[in-house]
Amino acid sequence: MGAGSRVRQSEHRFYQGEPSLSNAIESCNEGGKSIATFGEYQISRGADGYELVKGGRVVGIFEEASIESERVVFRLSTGMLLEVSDEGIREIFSKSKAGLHGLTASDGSLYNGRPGSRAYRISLESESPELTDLYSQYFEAVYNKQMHQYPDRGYPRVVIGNKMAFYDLKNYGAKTGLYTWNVPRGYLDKEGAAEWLKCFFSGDGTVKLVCAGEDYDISFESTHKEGLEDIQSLLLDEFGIRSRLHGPYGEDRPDRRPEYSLRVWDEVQFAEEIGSYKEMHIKRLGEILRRKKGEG
Amino acid sequence: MAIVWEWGSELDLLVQNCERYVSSAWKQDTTECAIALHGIERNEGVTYSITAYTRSRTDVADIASRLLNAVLGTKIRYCSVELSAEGFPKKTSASYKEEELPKRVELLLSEVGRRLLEKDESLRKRAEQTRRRLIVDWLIWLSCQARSSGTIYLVDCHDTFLDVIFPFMKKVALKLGDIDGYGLYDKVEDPIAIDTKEDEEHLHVTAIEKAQLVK
Repeated sequence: MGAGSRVRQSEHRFYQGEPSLSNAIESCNEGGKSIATFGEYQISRGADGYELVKGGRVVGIFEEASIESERVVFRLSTGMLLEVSDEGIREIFSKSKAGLHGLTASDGSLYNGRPGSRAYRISLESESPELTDLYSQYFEAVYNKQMHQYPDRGYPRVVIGNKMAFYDLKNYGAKTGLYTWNVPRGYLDKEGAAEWLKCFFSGDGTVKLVCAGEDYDISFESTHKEGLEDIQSLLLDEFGIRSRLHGPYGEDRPDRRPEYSLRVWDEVQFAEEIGSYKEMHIKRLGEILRRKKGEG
Repeated sequence: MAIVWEWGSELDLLVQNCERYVSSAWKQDTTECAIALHGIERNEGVTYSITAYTRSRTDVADIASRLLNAVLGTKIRYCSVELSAEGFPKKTSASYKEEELPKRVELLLSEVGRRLLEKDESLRKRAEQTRRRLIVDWLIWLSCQARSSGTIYLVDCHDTFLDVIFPFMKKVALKLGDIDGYGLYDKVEDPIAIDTKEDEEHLHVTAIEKAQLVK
């Protein structure tokens, strides 16, 4: 079996259930029961599922739909959703995919070896088993594949070799280079943004002691300044959470990459609306909430 | 500087890659090799670099392995290797004994506090009006020099809280060798307050160098 046929097989498995938009264009919306209208799109219930109609033509048929007051969301493949609202349509990440992307950006890695190599390895290593477990769950939810778990000198690690998933995560900017990643802003609704931030923070965030050990600070630590700037905007625009970017630290050391720290100001809001999956963070964020709410 | 390993690669490769890089890049005029691991201890958020300096290329694998074992359990962001014909200038990282450090850090924080009050009128008024004691959070850069079998190891760590940095740094250094002493970066240029909090007795101020405030 050649590589091409393996790729096709893989594509076939991944894109099961993906609506075929081009083929559906010719069919007409007759007899479907209209459920909702957003801008120039109408959603109807037809015999085969939910029909997305534009200008009297069916442009997509979906098995599942989540209908909300401001939008309707259809499930696509590989953890993607199609959001239809008065502003138009856009593809967004499901909660699982947003989490998977955020964890990959912080503690994960995408590795395909030397040019020409056929190794397409996706892995996550962490000192916190709760994060490797979560990564594995999200990976299965998104790609319907089970990761392999094995410790490396005491570090929990989950690994899988999968070309399709590798390129999918890579194309969405989960890793863009050594130590760099993109915040997938255009693919995040509010729930997705909260999940991406929570997962990224679980990996590359800290809740550290300050004020002579009597209080905590919440911060994101990274060598990727532009990435932290994007996180700063996302926190502010989606949640109204203010933060400050500091650095570079360590630039006087030629053998060292300058580091930056994004310090969160609105700690209570961060603890309530974003949070973390990491046990140590959860404990300390809980203490922040108890203290600050007690004070207020 | 060459980065020979990064987070996510298998840990055994760290030692192998150091050895491979040194054996291929070591030239006739090379006299010294610096192997460094950079990372962060994530429970408390202590950022660290540990560096080993050796003049023996045959010791590279053992040294890399020792560095790795010293920080297992933390996030090792990457490992770098550098070779030099002249040798590397070593910072003086052994000026203080352990018992001197708290006092030195206190002096540093007092100096930051003094400078802040001197130039920040609103902070000065607030401190005077509330009569609360000023407590400063400032990024403390500590270093420690250790030595084992002729190899010098430098451990650099930073965080805002000595009681957090010191136990971590000492634990790492003791895994590397016998401790020669400690260093503290005590240069203060232009501190600014970026956050203030009050409790019943204290006015807590978080301060950084003005040049490090990005936005």
